[in-house]
Amino acid sequence: MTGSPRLSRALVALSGALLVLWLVLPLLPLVVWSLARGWRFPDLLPADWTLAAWAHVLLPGSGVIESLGVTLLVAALATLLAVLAGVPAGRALGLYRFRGKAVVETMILAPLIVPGIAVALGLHAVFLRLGLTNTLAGVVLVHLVPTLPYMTLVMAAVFANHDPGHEAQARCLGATPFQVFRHVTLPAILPGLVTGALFAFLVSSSQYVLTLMIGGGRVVTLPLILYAYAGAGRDDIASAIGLVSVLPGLLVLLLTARFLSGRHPDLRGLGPT
Amino acid sequence: MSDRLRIALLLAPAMTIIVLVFFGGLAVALLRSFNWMPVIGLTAPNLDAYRAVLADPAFLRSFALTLHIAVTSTLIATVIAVAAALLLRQRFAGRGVIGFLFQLNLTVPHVVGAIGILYLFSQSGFFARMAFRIGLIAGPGDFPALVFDPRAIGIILHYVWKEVPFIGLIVLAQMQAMGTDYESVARSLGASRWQAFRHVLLPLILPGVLAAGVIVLAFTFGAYEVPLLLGASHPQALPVLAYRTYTDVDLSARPEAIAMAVVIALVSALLIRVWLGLSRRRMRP
Amino acid sequence: MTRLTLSALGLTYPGAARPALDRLTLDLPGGGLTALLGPSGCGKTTVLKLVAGLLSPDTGDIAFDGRSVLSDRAETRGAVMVFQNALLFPHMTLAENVGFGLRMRGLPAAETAARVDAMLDLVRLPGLGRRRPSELSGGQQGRAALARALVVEPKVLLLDEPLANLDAHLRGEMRDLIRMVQKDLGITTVFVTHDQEEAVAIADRIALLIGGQLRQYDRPEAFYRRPADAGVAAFFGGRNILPGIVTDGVFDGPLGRLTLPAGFPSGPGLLTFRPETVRLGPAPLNTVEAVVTGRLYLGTLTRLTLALGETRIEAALAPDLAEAVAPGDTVTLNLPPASLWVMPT
Repeated sequence: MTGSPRLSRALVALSGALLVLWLVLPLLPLVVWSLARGWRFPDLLPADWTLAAWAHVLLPGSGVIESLGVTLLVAALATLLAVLAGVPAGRALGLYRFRGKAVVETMILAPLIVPGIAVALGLHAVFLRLGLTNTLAGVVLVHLVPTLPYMTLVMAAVFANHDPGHEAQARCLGATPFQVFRHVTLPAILPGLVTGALFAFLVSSSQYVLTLMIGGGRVVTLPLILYAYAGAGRDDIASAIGLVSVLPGLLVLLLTARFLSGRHPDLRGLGPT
Repeated sequence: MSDRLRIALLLAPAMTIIVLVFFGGLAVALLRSFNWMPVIGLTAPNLDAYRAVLADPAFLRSFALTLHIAVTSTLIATVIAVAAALLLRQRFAGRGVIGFLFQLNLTVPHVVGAIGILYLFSQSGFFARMAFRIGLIAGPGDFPALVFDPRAIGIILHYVWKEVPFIGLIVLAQMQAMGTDYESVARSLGASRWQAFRHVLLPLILPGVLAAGVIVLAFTFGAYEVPLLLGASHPQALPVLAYRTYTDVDLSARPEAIAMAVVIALVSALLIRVWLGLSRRRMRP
Repeated sequence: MTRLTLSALGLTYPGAARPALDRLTLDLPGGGLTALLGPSGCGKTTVLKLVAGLLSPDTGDIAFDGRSVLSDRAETRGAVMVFQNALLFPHMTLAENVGFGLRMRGLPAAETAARVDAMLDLVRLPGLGRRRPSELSGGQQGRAALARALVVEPKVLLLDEPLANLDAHLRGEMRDLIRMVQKDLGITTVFVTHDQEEAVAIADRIALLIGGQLRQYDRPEAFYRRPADAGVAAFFGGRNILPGIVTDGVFDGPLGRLTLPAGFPSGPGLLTFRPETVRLGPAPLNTVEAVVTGRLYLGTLTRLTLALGETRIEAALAPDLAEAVAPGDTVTLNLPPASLWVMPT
């Protein structure tokens, strides 16, 4: 379009390469550390390599693989509840205009923005009284604070693009409400629902402060055990756990397989958490 | 069934959970910060906790530090994100790779990224080793303190790393929805590339950029785990200070801890207001 | 009055199998209004973007008054493009939109304001300068976009389907405005459209583009009476296209032997004639007998479909003449030699 296309193309390529480098850079030392048998100061690479950290992380007994199980269980339950409550709420917000809608939207948005620490300190007292602290149920419940609003907003966007005329047509043709849902509504919203649920799952599995506060160190999820090892200076094991923690996100991205940048409405709603 | 009833029923489960768990938690926090807990015999609400907190220089230093972390991270991340979105809008080899990395980056837990930053920038980290190898420093102690440092450089580096993709994807989506026609019009009418960006594209995407920035600002102001891992021991970021005070052996300090949490919530509530204002003003050409 | 010359202009979009534009050569006289006509996706908008400097051609050259402008950037080239959907900047008022180009050139505010006001008067939007684009009707937005382009006094004005998004009654009004302003200011104008009637109504000359290739460049009436080939004839709604052989000025085809006007070389060809040139009744030359297969009353005329063996032709007659004719009748028609035209096969 202008002056020297070769120069501007070179600039684009250079800044692109810098961006890629910056994006992957913080993850690289984790790969090295997870395979290192000690990695002392001036060495750019470890002198000795080992799979010991990975064995520690992946073999039962050390607690890491168990905490992965806890993480997945908590995330699965929180996601299930978020879907069950979020789909109807998303339908209300996506399909209807009603008085007080702006208030409802603000109330649903607020948990996504108000920092977890502010909620967690208040909830701790309530959950303590209800006997929910240090329990899996309590952690699942508190994980709804970020996952449910997220799921609701995703479903509101999905339903905003959904034409309820199809449902009315199906009713006219003799379908029961359940049949309408099963054969008309669900197939239409399923892609958005699945993508939203997968990302809600990720939101839950990377929670830290809510789990710490309500789980009280009894419900140990992956981010907690990762922090414990990092704090204890076990960089090899912490790195291996860190890489394991990246896997669910990678899997979800491959599952949803929509790498086109910026075209992922659900992901954009994921928020900075 | 009337629409009103239908809407109420559809919203009921989600709103019940959000009101009980989220607003319930906030409300209890608020009451406790006023020392009003009839169950344990505190029936005379007062502002003692806030008085104590606001008079505490440690709190004020933490507040200033946290504000510095949030504002600096958000500003740097926003500028880089807009530049990155401009870059990703063009066709070039490797654009898909960056798009994928942006999305992957969004899914990486903060703790993981923070550990990576630690391994890169600490005084015995990768860059310190490089500096030693090429003779810039004589030992780890000579390398500038980029993590655990009072200026929170490590924390800011992490947030920039994590939030550039978040803001970038939002801005990119907005640019793609808008297309390049407005800029073409501007160019055709005699605007240079810079003028077309400055006078046409930037004003059009600004509400979205600001909205994304406000979300990041609220998050970086209230996040706990990153300053916990990368922050200096003095001063501590506000969320870390609040948590430490709450879990202190001295239980009498709890109302003060909660008062700090309420301050954090108030700041974020303010930011929600701003965000809503911005998102309503977002233009739909 | 800038003369615009396109020489062997070619462009293939990255990844596309076929070129968007295939060696287009076109010479547009200064001060004229040329319609770039063709079906959608035939490369018309590409031509405008190339001339405006928003795209660079793979091959060929673009010249204003004989001087190549390919190395001029979009903002200094002097060719202003008006996009199909007005694209007023939503964050600016109408006056700010119209004054945009002058502001980019660093013109003093007072002079900008004066020229904007004059331009708003010209496009019949006086006093609306403080309105936001969202407060303007579709027709007003179109006129505003035109004003925004005209105020910078372009050498070449490029209009991309400026009537496409308007209601039928606004379309004629806008078309007349464009024609009037263009004539007054004498700006060389390229007008892209896919609507042949629109092109005929507004243009001095029409360039018909099909599949990225220039098929005919001529005065509007030529496309009806003297289409360059069967594709052109079909695009202009030609229904009667019949194969045959020309021998010494006589066309031998499915309608029998028809005498042609002078000038057609001998050899195989495609005969075409407009339905409205067909006459009822016998004549000394070119009389044809055919069976009426259908009759469609269209208000100002009646369309007859006729069969002659396997061959079908169409005639358009005044309704009162056609009234006497019913499907199933055998009628006598004549095709005046002057209305016949033979295209290469």
